[in-house]
Amino acid sequence: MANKISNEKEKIFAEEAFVVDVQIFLDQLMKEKNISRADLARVMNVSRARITQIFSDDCKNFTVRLLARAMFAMGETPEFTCELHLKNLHHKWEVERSKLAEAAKNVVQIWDEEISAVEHYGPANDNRAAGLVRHYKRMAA
Amino acid sequence: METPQDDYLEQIECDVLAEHSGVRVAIQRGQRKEYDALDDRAQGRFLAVMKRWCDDPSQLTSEMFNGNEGRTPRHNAMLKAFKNNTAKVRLYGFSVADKKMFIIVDIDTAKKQTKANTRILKRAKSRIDDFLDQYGKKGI
Repeated sequence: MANKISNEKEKIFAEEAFVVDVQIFLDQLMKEKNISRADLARVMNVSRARITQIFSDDCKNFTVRLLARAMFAMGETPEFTCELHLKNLHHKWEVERSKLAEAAKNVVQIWDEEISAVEHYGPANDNRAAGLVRHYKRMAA
Repeated sequence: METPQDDYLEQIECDVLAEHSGVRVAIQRGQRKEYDALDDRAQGRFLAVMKRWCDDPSQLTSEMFNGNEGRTPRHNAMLKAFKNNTAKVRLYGFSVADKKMFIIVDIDTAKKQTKANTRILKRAKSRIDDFLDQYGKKGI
């Protein structure tokens, strides 16, 4: 019984954590794009009260459709993922990398340097970096 | 293994509620019972918001946190609050910069309106000043 209660509490905590993540994500995106809540309501074609609901503590009536509409209104395409998928994707990369390492050690070394440079300084405007970006986009697709 | 932060927590008689990236949100033991009495949903939301505060307070929305509830009269420390308007609860406290910590000193669980209760605001400020009298002002 104690386990059941604790499990229920964990479920509620997980729900709340996700709601907070989504609210902060949307709020940050709006700040980055300089969009006010009134602007968002207008472009989403919903009432200002509906936007207030999205950011409220109980976050009532915030559906996946409404989230998709908010993202679309801000010119973004949402992507959904979870730890398992990210782990699988990372594993896929590791497998590919080890195959490449066997085939061409120097190439992998250059790639690693490039990844590190991109992480620190952003994407470089050269063919090697562009190829790398294309590759990871393909892997992620 | 005990860290200097743990020693500090013992010294100031506080418990940790949330922790992320070496930053903590703690509560004075005298307020703990009232916090534990909150329903699971309110606690879950506070916990999630506190973790995000530890990561970067500036990312919180105005519905989640108010970083300026006024300054205390004696030590001029800034009173701040984690908010939950649905559960009508505010957790008042202040941040201790050199300890990378937020300390909750007061809880308003009887909020009758969205606006803060001035009596409790005053009490929270007085508790911060008392805390600083007792443990020092370093790093506020």
